[in-house]
Amino acid sequence: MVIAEDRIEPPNTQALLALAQEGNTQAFCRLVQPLEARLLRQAAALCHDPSAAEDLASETLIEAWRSLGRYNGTCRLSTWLYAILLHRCQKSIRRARCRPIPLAWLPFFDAGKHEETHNNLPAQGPTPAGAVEQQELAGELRRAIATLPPKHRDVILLRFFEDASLRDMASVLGCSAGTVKSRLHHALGKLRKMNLNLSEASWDTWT
Amino acid sequence: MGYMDMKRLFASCGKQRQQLSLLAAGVLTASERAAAEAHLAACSDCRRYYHELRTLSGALSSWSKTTPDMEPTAAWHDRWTRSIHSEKRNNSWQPAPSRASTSNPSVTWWQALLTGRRGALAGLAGVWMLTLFFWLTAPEVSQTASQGALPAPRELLQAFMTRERLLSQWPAIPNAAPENKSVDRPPKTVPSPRSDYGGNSLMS
Repeated sequence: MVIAEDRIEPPNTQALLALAQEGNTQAFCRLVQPLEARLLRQAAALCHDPSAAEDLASETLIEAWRSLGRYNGTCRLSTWLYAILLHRCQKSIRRARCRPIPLAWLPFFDAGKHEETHNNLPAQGPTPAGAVEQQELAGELRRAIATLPPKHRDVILLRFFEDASLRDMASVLGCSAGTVKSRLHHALGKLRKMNLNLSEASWDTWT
Repeated sequence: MGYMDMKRLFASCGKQRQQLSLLAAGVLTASERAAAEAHLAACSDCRRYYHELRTLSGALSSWSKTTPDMEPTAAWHDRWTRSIHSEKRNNSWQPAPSRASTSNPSVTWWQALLTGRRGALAGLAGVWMLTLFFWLTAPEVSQTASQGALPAPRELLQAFMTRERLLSQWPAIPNAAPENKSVDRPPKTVPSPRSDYGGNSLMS
């Protein structure tokens, strides 16, 4: 289960960041090492396929390395990485529309959902039936979010998957805090109108 | 409840809905939260709305928390670190500008103007192309039409002067025009209503 952690950044982040921005690859690796697990989990939530998630996360880190000069420290490094991850994910969806590739590679696609659920049943935690229910609800949420326009999907994922503040979201999305508020409101309103089958009991048991 | 009261109530709820969404998402400040909660205490419709959003945001938070962890494998770590090392070796990576120089002086004013305005510029280009297309596809029609419809300025001026002269002579030729008109017009053949309703029989 997941950790509400990863605000963890290395103690000498600023020094490592300065070194990495000068082109030191070792410093960059040490800088992002504590965030790798978090990034993989976030990618897995989008892709639902472990190998696609790994590809997405590594593409994100390589892209982050290339554009590290644009990181100006106005938001958390993890939020900045997550914004890149969302952008790469959107790109891969666009690419997938133009190219015939196995459907299981597509982000947001739930092929083999049940098979994977049974393979990944946790040793402790919810019962097998509960785990399947969790997966189904997660799939429903994932599909609902996939239907949102990118600008609405990004704020929802940044808020609930990255726990980003308004200021951080505004910084990585390049818009004002007021715009982020409005997008968040509309995104939640759209999800509410989809009448997802979410009883309070179902998500209470997850936590 | 009067019309104005109803109007005020709905306006107030409409304004509060965004705050309630943000409350459910957990991004309000303490004072904003207090104001939103005060409204919730007074409005049952908004309470129902907030409850739905709270369920939704709870499910979203739980989904993120229950997504299984993926521990980074050594092979995966090696793969991406090798990629960035090779980029560095191939010199395809340029040293990043320092944080102090984020307002880059090498960026010229026109580059700064173009940055972030791609959509607007594309729209302008589209409008320009459409205008050009219509202009190129129908030039002759518009020219002939304009030639037929609009005489030269000199002719216009002459016509205007003639009209002015005729108008100034108008009182000098009384009843000429109306008489002519009445001659040209066909005679009226409207039957008298009395004959239709059998007026003759009444008279007799």
